[in-house]
Amino acid sequence: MNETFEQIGQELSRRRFVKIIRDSALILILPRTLGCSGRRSGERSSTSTYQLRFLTQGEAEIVEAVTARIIPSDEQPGAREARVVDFIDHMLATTYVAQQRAYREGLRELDQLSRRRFGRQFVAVAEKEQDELLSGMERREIREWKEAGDFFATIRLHTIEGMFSAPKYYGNADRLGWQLLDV
Amino acid sequence: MQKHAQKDVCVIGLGAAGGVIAAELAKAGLSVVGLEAGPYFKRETFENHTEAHDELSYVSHGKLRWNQPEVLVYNGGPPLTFPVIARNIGVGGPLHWSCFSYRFHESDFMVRGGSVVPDGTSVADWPIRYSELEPFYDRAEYEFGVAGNAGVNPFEARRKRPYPLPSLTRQRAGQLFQETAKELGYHPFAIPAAITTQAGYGGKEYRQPCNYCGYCTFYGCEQHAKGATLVVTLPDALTTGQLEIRPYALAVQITRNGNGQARSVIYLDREGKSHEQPARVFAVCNNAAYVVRLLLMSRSDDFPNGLCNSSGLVGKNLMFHASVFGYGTFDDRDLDAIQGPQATVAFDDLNEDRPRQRHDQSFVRGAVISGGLPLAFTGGPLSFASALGTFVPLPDGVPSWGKGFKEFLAKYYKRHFAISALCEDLPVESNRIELDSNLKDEYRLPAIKIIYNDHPNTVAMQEFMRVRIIELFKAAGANHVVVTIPQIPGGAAAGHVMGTTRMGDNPEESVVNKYCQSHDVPNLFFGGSSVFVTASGLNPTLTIFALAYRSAEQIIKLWNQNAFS
Repeated sequence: MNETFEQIGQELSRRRFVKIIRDSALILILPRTLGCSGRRSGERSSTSTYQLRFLTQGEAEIVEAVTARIIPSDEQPGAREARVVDFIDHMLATTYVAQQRAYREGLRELDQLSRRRFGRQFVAVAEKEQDELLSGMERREIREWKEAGDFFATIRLHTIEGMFSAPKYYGNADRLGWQLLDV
Repeated sequence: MQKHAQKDVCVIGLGAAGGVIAAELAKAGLSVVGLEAGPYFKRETFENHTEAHDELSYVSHGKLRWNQPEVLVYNGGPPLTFPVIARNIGVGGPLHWSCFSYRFHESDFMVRGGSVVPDGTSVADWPIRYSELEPFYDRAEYEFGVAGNAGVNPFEARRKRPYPLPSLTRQRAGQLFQETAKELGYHPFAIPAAITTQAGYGGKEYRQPCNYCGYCTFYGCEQHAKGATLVVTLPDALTTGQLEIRPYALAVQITRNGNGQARSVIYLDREGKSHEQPARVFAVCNNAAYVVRLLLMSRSDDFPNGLCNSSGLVGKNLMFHASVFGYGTFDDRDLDAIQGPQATVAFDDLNEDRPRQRHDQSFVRGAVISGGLPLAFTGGPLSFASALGTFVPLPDGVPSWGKGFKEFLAKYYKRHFAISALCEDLPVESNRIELDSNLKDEYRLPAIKIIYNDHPNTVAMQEFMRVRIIELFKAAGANHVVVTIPQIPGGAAAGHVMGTTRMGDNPEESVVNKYCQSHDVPNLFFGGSSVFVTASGLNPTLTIFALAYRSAEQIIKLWNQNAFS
């Protein structure tokens, strides 16, 4: 038995940062994921320039468009002004590394879906059409894309996180999320 | 394998029970080593206001949680893999807790003798009575600093003296809940809470009065008002020089000597290296689910079913507190349930056997009902927004994203409150924890598997409580009312794990004796809710503290009689 634990020990040092749970469906049940928090100090405003670390420019535009449908801008600022896309990119480059693949594939799928349904890329279709696509994902109605529901749940939760978490994580610019709730 | 010098005592898990037992034994002059699977956050960690309220870290990412995969088989459904158990970690726990500090009722120790026993349950009386535990409840209240109003709850167990601190004041949501409960004929009271309401409690200048920030559940406390062993028991024990604390020490096996006594603990450190720590006495004080894993991983030729398991009951009689949870929204009332501790107002009218005896219900036992808390069970905007549409449903017709969602968040963050029923879950032998035969955790240790079916008694109780909670919200004038029975045993956070090494006089029907000492391995004691025989419809932590003080006293007594030499 003791030898077994010695072996476990040797293995463990290699595996320490290998996270086991990657199933984003889990997030539907509990809003928690594994891992350590990214630590960057300094608050940002909506006008600051953020350098993308994981998403490509094209992917970031899709992410920004999706977040802007989840928490839209009206008389009150929404996810776009709060720079939720920067939060998502920062987290994907750090704590949420395990979800990089889900994003890369998910964003590609979403764009393809948009082209199939409306003949144009996601960012180019009207908000009403974007909502139609996102609703289909949420309701798990897209037969040819079975991860769509999980991906929507993930990006929805990350949008909320980026809107309302501490600005040091690169979202909630100018504390716009907190202002919305009159914190 | 790194071998360490023998200590008098090795405590596994420095939380509510371990933090008390380790400190008591060190202060009595024994050499103690405390092994904690989690990190060692010093007091200062929690004192920076901005960091202390970092919701993404504490709530979303569970900074004070174990977060390892576990398997749940619930009501015969398919196995689900996720971190089921809210196992809280960190030296000096409970750090994360909401500080609800109830004494169990007299009847909670004698459910079998005092009520009807439903078929299919393994309800038994505790081998101790409330009166035997009363001095230890008193000790725990005065050490940790419990704020409360004695005599307001007509159903409270008899107590020899008042609470050491005046109760917390109610925020507006708690007041509304209190007024509403009174109107409906209940007897609401301020929840006794181990949260200091005066500066410098217990001569510890760093313990400041609660500032009503609202960041209790899942957080360390920036005021050190919350009673954690980190700020209550461990500081004095460390000054004796008798206590050594080792964080990131994950116990994986207890070995035995030829005389049937426990000899050492094998643990893994942060780098995954194994260590052996011999001692003369052991106190197993980790989470009640992980106690089971440790005992089952310590199986040997003598104990093929696991250590301390001649009864075959290790891991069985698993109980959670079945929950009913809901919230109401109010268009024109700024209630600010987000502010203030989550320990607000409760009533006990539907607890113990009163639903059956006074309300003509067919189920036995009951629940405490608490109200005035935020719907995410903790403060903060991210907790509120991320709970809605995930584990807390939105009202019918309110979308989970888009304009309607945004408007709901903005309107009701400060205009809602929640009510929760903590239902007594009866022990059922087949509700249990095992080791999963396939899944391994990050340490390549077998993941725990929770096999749990709701007893019909619990289902009937939850439905009764659900209707009562809806009545309360309607009477309070709520416009949206959402009350749910969570789809996970114990609710979204299965924090109260109980019964897995039950206490009793008969070694064939229990794992530990009335002092929480193993029947099989006499130098091995248990701390924590694993020893609970029944669950009570009240929060468990003060009882964990009280039992820990009692076990520590017994260990010292036996030590002085040379029982462990």
